[in-house]
This record gives sequence, C-alpha cells and structure tokens, in this order.
Amino acid sequence: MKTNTLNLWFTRFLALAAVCTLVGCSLFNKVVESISAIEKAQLVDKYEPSEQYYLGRGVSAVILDRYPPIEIKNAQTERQVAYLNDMAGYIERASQSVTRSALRLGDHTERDHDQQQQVYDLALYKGVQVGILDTEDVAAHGTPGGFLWLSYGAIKMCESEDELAAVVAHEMSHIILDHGMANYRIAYKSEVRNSTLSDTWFSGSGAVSNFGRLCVTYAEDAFNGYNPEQEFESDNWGTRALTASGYDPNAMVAVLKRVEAYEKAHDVDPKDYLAHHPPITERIKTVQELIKSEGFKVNPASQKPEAVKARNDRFTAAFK
Amino acid sequence: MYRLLLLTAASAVCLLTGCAGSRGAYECEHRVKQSGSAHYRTYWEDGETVYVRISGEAPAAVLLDEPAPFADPVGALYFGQRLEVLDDSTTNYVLVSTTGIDEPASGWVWRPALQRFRLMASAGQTDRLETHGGEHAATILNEDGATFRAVSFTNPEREAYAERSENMRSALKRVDEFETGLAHAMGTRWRVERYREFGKAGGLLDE
Repeated sequence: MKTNTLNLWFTRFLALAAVCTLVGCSLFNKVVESISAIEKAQLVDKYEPSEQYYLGRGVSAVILDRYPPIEIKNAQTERQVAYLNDMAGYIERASQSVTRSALRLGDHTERDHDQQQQVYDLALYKGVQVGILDTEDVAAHGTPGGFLWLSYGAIKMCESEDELAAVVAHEMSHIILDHGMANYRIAYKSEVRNSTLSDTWFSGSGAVSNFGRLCVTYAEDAFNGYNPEQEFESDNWGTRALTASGYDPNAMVAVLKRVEAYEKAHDVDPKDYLAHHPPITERIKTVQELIKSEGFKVNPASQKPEAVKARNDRFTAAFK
Repeated sequence: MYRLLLLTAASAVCLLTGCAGSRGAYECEHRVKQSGSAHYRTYWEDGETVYVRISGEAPAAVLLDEPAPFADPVGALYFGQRLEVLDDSTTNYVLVSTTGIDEPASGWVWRPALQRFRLMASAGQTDRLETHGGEHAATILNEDGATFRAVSFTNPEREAYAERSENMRSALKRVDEFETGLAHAMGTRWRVERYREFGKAGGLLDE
C-alpha cells in the first residue's frame, strides 16, 4: 500500500515535471524568438497603437533633426498649430466610415486578410498630431502612431482651406492605411539598414542601438516618399475623406495641379521627396475619374458663399 | 514505467490539444462578420470584457452619448481601462459600460479603441505565453489574464535606451517640446467638441 502511494506520487511528480518542461521550453523559445526579433530590429507583424506611437516618436525625432519644427511659443504659432490639429482631428473623425479596403480604394495595393484586418483595427494612440516644419521646401511626412509633419512650403502652396484639407487628408491616409509599415517591410525585408546617419547616431549592436537605427531607417524611407501604388491609394482615400468631411473633393485635383506647377517651376532634386511620387498628370487624371465614377457630390451647404468665406478667412488668418 | 509513459503522453496530448483549443477559441472570439468591409472588423460579444488600447490623451478616448463621430461626450477613458460590452450591433461604435472602482457609466466608444487584452508596461508575474500575430510578436498573459508584449516598443524604456545617443536625445527633445506646445495650444476642452465646432464654423457640418 505504502509502495503504491509512493509510486503514485512519484508518477505525479514526473508527469508534472514533464509538463513543466514542455511549457517552460515553449515559454523560453517564444521569449528568445522575441528578443531575437528586436535584436535584428524587425517590426512585429501585428503591433499595438502604443508601439506605433513610440516608433513614431523616434521617426519624428529623425525628421526634426533634418527639418527643425516651428516653436510653439507665441499666439500666432499656437493659432497655426491649433488650426491644423482641429482640421486633422475633424477630418479623422468625419471619415471614420470611409472604406479602408484596398480593393475599394482602387486595387492599387495588395493586402492579405490579416493586413487588411490590421488596417481596419488601426487606432492612433494619441490621435493625429500635426506639426509644422520650418522650411520653404514642399514636404509632408506621416509617421506611425499619428505624427504628421507639414512644411511651411507645403502649407503656403495651398490657396484655400479645402486645398490644405486635401493635403492633410492625403498624408493622414498614409498613416491610417499603414503605408509606412508596409513600405518598410517590402523595401527592407523588415530589417534595419546601415546608413551614414545611423552609423553616426548609433554605434555598436544589440537591441538598444537597433531601435534607434530602426527609427533612422524608417525616417530615411519616409524622406524618399511612399511607393507609387500607395500614393494612388492615398489620393483615393483622401478624396473620399474630403467628401465625407464636407469639403470639395475637387480640392484634391486642385492641390495636385499646384504640385504639378511647383515641379515645373523648380528643378526637383532626384533625392527630393516629390521625385519619388508617380507622374502627377496620371494622379490628377485618376482622381478626376474617381470623382466622376463614384459620383462624389459637393456638399451644397459647405459651398455657400458665407461658408467658403468662413473657411478661407480662418485659413488666411492662420497662414497668409 | 508503462503508466508513467502513458501519463506523460496523455499530458503532452492534453497540452497540445489545450493549446489548439485555446487558439481555436481565440479565433472564434475574434469572429468577423462575413459581409463587405465588416469582414475585416473585430467584433465583440455582449457581456464580454474589453480594454482600452489608446492613451487617455487620445481624442477617441471618450464615451459618447450616441454612436456618431460628433456626439456629446459623457465620460473619459484611459489606457488599459476595463469595460464591458453592452451592444455591438453598429458598424463603428460599441456600447460599453465602465466597471471597477469608478462610478459606473455607459456610452459609445469607437470600435478600434478596444481590444480583448489589457496591455501592461511591465511583466509582473507570468504564467502563460501565446503567440499574438506573427512569429516575431508574443503576448504574455499573467495570472489576471492581463497581457503585454514580451519584447517590443510598448515599453518607453526602449526609447530611453535610444536616448543614449546624444543626437537622438536632442532630437527627441524637440518631439517633447512639440507635444507640450501642442497640448497647451489645444487646451483642456473635449477634443470632440472642438472638432465639431470647427466643422460647424466652416459650414462643413450641419447644425
């Protein structure tokens, strides 16, 4: 009897040890796998809003090293930043029902089911945060986590609030449609890239320096602009968002024509961000066809003279 | 010995089956409606516990009195807050109630602001680990069922490590200054009210 009891306890002990070993191995392997991923500075396949936000801060840091932001230190700059952020926040909310389906956005990009679900579930940890770059260059950069940087040059290129809204809607779509992450994965196989800047800023290896190098890699990718397919998709989503927000969808065409004029007036440097965009005439034509085929109508109330004046007055007060 | 081998084999089978079962349940819980874009959205069961996945500073971290983007705010939400789903029959919003030590309140919240797991900044006690998404992500569940990323960008310490670079430190300082200045410029009003006012003043939103 006593022997049987001992055998039973011994058996239970061994069984428990076997289970613990299996569970322990599983845990250990997963932790090692995760640590390995960060040491290689690869992006996870699925990430949380907070993760995107912290990555976005690092990417923004690199962007602000190249283009210093305006300092928000007086009534004028406060008004400018508040105006831009009210506009972006308004558009983001008003466009919550706008489709995020790659197929419905013109079928320019490919997403598998998980990626498409990721886009539909995408939320911004602190919302859209728009800052102004203190340069006359035409530049606009969206980062993961909701940072949107617009240059004075890009803002002043616009002649109305609706046109500025078109720029904001287009750039916001890069964030909401997860273009940065997708582009990074495709271009760099989700690994960090060595560059002069990353070597200068971060020496050594390991998870510590690799997080910083990842930010640099991503930011340098952002400087080059998104790929042509993503630009077409953003034009599509941006035009839909403008319509959903009550703005004139034709403002997207108008602002693209201003970019076209800018390109003709300036010798665009091959390294410049605009140089990586698809041909502007093709983009204009595609947006015009979209407006026609979808039957986007201008909101009559928003086109009343007093409404147009109210928008352009506040735009002028902020930036002209 | 035979009994031991049998028991060990049974344990292994149970473990594997259990893992498969829990993953199956996980996927079942993440059911998706099979029509149009709704196919890709995550839906919840009535009575299910969910958690807020965005910062309390986010404009979307708010309970609204109606399932509409510019509805009136009725309460604030914070990161990691536990909520109970009351109604998940609309497309973009979910009716939830707050639980725990706070005064119970209910309202509509934007769907992507919610998730099944509570994210934590640090590990604490762990007893289970599941893959979450792809091969490079892992989610650890502690004894309360709370979760966090094993190694990822969630932890602000990761950023602090990056600050060991003098260049990165000074550049991140600019981001800090921007966020501080922006918060001051936007004030403490509900953002949803600001946005609604912006739309109405520009003739973009109906009165």
